[in-house]
Amino acid sequence: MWLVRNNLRGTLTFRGLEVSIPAGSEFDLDGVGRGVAEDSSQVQVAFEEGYLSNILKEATSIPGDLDTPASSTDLAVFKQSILNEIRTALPQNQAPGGLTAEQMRGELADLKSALVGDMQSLLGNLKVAKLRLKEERERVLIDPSLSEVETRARLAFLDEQGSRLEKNFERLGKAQSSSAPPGDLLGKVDLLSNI
Amino acid sequence: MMAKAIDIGTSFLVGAEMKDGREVFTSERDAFFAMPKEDFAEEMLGRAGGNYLTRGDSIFVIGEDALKFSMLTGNQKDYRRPMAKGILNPGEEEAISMLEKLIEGVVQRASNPAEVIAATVPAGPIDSDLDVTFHRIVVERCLRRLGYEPRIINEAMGIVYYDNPTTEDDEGQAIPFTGIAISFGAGMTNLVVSWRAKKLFEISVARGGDWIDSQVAQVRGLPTSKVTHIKENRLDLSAIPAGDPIQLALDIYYEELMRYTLASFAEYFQQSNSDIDRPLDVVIAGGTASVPGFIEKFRAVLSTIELPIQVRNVRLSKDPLKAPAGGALVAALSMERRQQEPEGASAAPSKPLLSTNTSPTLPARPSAQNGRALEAPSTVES
Ligand SMILES: Nc1ncnc2c1ncn2[C@@H]1O[C@H](COP(=O)(O)OP(=O)(O)OP(=O)(O)O)[C@@H](O)[C@H]1O
Ligand SMILES: [Mg+2]
Repeated sequence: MWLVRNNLRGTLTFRGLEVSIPAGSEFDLDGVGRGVAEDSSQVQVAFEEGYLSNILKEATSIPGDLDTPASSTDLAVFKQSILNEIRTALPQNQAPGGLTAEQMRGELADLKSALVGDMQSLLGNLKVAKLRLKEERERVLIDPSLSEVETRARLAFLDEQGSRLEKNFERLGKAQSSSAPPGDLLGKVDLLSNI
Repeated sequence: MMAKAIDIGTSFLVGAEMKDGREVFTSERDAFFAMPKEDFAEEMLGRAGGNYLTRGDSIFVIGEDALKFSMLTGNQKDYRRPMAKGILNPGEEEAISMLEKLIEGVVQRASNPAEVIAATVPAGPIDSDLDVTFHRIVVERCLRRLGYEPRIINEAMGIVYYDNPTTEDDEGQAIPFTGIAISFGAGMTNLVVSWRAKKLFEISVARGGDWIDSQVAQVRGLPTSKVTHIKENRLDLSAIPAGDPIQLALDIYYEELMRYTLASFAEYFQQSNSDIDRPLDVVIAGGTASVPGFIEKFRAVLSTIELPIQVRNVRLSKDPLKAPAGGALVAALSMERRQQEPEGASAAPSKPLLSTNTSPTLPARPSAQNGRALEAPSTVES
């Protein structure tokens, strides 16, 4: 048994393996064969990026154990790992004292979505905002109190706002400071400028 | 000082600028993943905060996220790259628009009017008729639109400015920015010979890491992405496991790439009737050269090829992935400084770039010594 969990809020699909793991669910990857799963670059990336986490990985896979129900030790290990994760992820002052596992899990989910931003709400907002822009556009067009110039200016403004919604990034790339001693590069600039 | 730099590569874009006295690099994968809007919600839900843009009925996931997305979904068809073999990908209809967005995301808009930015381009390849000029014009136009004053440099010259190889004159004085630099990238391999920061010779071949990947994938019947993964994560050219057919194939094509580059260099340099009688250092950079054991193998291949220039020392750049961008920043800052000098100062006598008293035998016609003609006047190193 090689039990993994999808940490995402959406379904993870590994087309090459014909495997789909719903949001937050567990899956036994030994079902597709240990070697195949370990070799899959999709699975490797999913682990590297933290989309998948290991819940239980038995030393060797026993073919055919797919249908055997999880033993009680498996379940205990599983529960413990979830509790550990919740405890480490929650802020100190909210730790164990008085919270049920269910509450903790809720807190954890909130925390996670606060950290990474929630794509669904983003998409929802996008729709609402676009709708408002459209309504506003129609209102501007029929507003008799606006002069032609004003109407055009407002429409241009609305268009600009609209086009801003089309892009979900300002910056790209991972920034990294150089490990070179400061002044190293500027020394080269001096040298080059004096040639 | 405000100048910036960007190394525009087939697989990575690397921006460089100074912040609080330190050089800061920003790197992003030069790729995107396209899909219809309706597929978006379900699949993207988990990928909160992904970088994307929308146009018409399509969504384009941009940069590193594109690769993750394609690997996660197992969909490689919609993983696309604006560039191929060192320049704009002629077979990609979104090439220009996506490259522009990626460049903007990495360098942002200019922070003051006509801020200088140095951008890298390859030399025209000897073995393909790809159009470097068009690529270069698109890059310049894009940077100008972002408010910059663009300067174009050869990416291997960036390595020269960053690593500063030197040789000695007759008095034993070091001559700076003098040597051979080679960038082993994804789409191309670029080589320059620099003398005192001036580009004497340039050549490029349309082979690099991508070529290795696709050749190995072909002979071993594997998906290219799998080969790339093994190459980047497991390969050590000084310790190839005897029973591993993929790594053996990688080893063979690595060697072939080195041989081909050096042999082309030898041939074209000779044709250019150039002559340099000082031994030069070779500095190597680029992602393809980052694999362990690369330099040792390169030295071994070099020893089997007769080069028209004596080689003193072969070394890996102090930062193989960032050297072209870092060196472009050196060039940009230096140009900015020159621009800001008062009129009189620039008229002050400065040492000629190539004076026969201070240098050994020099090419008779330095500006015509290339595998291809040198670049237009906005080139830094001319
Ligand atoms: N650790 C590594 N080991 C082996 N190869 C690597 C490693 N890291 C990156 N590469 C390879 O290096 C290449 C990318 O290098 P680089 O970033 O220098 O290219 P580029 O500048 O984007 O391309 P080009 O200059 O040809 O346009 C890819 O082929 C990649 O597979
Ligand atoms: Mg490059």
